[in-house]
Parts: sequence; C-alpha cells; structure tokens
Amino acid sequence: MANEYMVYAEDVTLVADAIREKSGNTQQLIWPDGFVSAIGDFTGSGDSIVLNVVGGTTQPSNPSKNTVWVNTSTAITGWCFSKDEPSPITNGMVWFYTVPNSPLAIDILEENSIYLYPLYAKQYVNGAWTVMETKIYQDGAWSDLSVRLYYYGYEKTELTGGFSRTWRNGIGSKTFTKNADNLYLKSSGSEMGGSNFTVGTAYKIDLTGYSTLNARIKCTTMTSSNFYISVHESTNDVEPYTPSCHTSKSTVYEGILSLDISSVSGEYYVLLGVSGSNINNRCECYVYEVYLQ
Amino acid sequence: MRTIYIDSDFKCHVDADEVMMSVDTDLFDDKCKAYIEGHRFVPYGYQWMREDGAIFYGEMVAPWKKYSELNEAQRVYEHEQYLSSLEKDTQYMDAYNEGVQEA
Repeated sequence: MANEYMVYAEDVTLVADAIREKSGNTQQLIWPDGFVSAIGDFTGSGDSIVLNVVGGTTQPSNPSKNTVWVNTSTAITGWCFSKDEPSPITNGMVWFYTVPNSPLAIDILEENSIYLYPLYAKQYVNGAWTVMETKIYQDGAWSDLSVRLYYYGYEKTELTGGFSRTWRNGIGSKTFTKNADNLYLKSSGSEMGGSNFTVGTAYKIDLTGYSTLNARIKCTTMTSSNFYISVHESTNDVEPYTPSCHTSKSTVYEGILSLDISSVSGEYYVLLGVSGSNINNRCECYVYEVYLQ
Repeated sequence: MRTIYIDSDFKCHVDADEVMMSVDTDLFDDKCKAYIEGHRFVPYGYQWMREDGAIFYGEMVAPWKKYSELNEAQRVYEHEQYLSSLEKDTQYMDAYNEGVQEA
C-alpha cells in the first residue's frame, strides 16, 4: 500500500500560487498531474555558466573545465572580469582585466558561448594591486595568463605602441621584419666592423608589480653575436648597445629567455636586440612571444 | 672593458675577496660603484634561482637593488664627473694663459 501523508490545504495553495507566479498562468491547478505538468512547462536558457575561480599556492590537481587558479596566499574575497578597476574594493579581491580580444579566450557557457578575454589578473593586497600568476584550465590543459606584449603576430599596441622604435649602430646590415606570426631580427658584420641593432616598444610600459620579462625565441644563426631582451628607461640619442639590464643568448637556441625584473618598478621600454662586435657577426632570431609575469 | 667580481649569489663587486669570481665585461664601463654593486651578473653557463623558485640562465645582468635608485646614483656620478672635468679644463686654461703671459 502506498505511503499516505496529510497536508494542509493552505500549504498546497501556497505551492500552486508559487507555480502560477512563475508560469504567469492564473488557472486552477489539479493535484498532482496539473502541478507536475505546470512545472514541466517551465522554460529557461538551457545553459549554465562554467567558471570556477580558486586561490591558493598549490595548483589544483584535478581541475574542472574553466578553473581559474590564482597563485596567492591571500584569501580571495571576491572577483570580477572588467576593463575598469572594480569598486568598491576589498582586501583580497581579484580583478581580471579584460580586453576586446586577446590570445586567451574563455567560453564561460556550457552550451552556448560568451567569451571573456582576460589579459592579466591583479589582487588587492594591503592597499595595492599586484599582478598574480594565474592559470586557466581549458581543453585538458593549463594556459598561463600573463601580460602578453607580443604573441605570434598579435601586438598589444594599446599598451606597447608596437615594437617599432629602432636603434641601429655599426656598418653591417640590419633587418627587422614583422612576419605573420613572429618578429624577425637579423644582423651581419662587414669589413668595417660589427653591427648592433635594437628594436623596442614605442611606449614605456609600467613594470611595477611584475617580476619577470620573458620572450619565446628561436635563434637560428649565431656567430660572434648575441641576442638579448632588456628594459631601458631612456630613448635618448645614445643607442643602447647591450643595456646593463638584460639577458642574452650567444648560441643557436630555441626556447624561453627570462629576465629578472623584480627590482624594476616604473616605466621602461622593452627592447629586443642583436649585438655583434666584428666582421664575422651573424645573428638571426625569431621572436614569437614577449610577456610579463 | 673592466674586471668586476661576483659572489656566490652572483652579486657584483668592484673589489675582490679570495672567493669571488672575476668577470671581464664592458657592460659597466663608466659606471659608478653604487650602480655596479646594485646588479647581479650571471655568466653564460651558470644559473641563478630567485627566492620564489624561478630559475634564470646566464648571461643575465639584472638589478637586485631598486633600479631607479641605481640609475639615480649613476646620474649623480656622471654629473660629478662632468663638474670635475670642467674644473680641470679651467685649471688647464689658467695654466696656459699664465704661460702665455710669461712668454
């Protein structure tokens, strides 16, 4: 025999009223089929947001799709995706700065699509915003959310003005080409001597809060030369040879070049350069990414 | 070209002790002591690990003191050098004029 329950009539009316308010219908509902049918008629977007922001100093080991991990020891008290600084601000809040388009896009809906384009993440700690190491889990892999100044042909021109300011020194030949997916630098010495060639961002960039400047490069030719990345505060007429704050390679190399800028704050130009000191210098290098962490 | 010295943490020094490595470089030509000793020099073939675990490979030259302060120290040094040079020029001219008068 089926279980039997007693309920008050006014309670059933409460449920029916709630259903009618949700459905917009005013007709009487017959228990139970009418109730079941009315609830089944409810329609929604059929979609849901898939986004999970987590903090901590240990990268999640079993993340779900669109897990955004912020490497922080400060508890996250709130977060937002916005091109404008959030208000009000609370200590621990994370701000994902968004742009109209960037190499890293997050589709936050389960079935349909809404894309967010975060460029970097900052957390408000003890009165200041600090750029945080952030990774996003998509398609079974983690992607690093860094400030990309250049990414396979994409230039963050509103931040950098593009890699367009050049310095040249020496008699040998120098080439700088913006290819579809890389920046190409080449220098060659001549009988008159070596050549040095530098290209930098048109704008100074505020490096405050960043600890590392990185470049993904491929040096295919390297004879009596070196390729370097650097930060420089001045664009005066004195051409920067190999600036004192730099990191370089002097051999054929493919990989990431990283410069410690943890003691650098304020506005600086970001430079890419090739430097050769004699007739034999030959250097060819492709730059695929330039980014800050 | 000058010789600088680096300690076990790759920090630069103008003067050596018994254990520092010597490095010949032109990167610090005409730079003052404060500027030089505020930098870290990681030569080719070496690597340095930052406090947060990030590893950097030589060659890398990067400030470990506030870069803006190092640049300011260098500007002060260059200004002092300029004034000193001016003073010497004045002395030379005075000596020359004195010589001319005596002649």
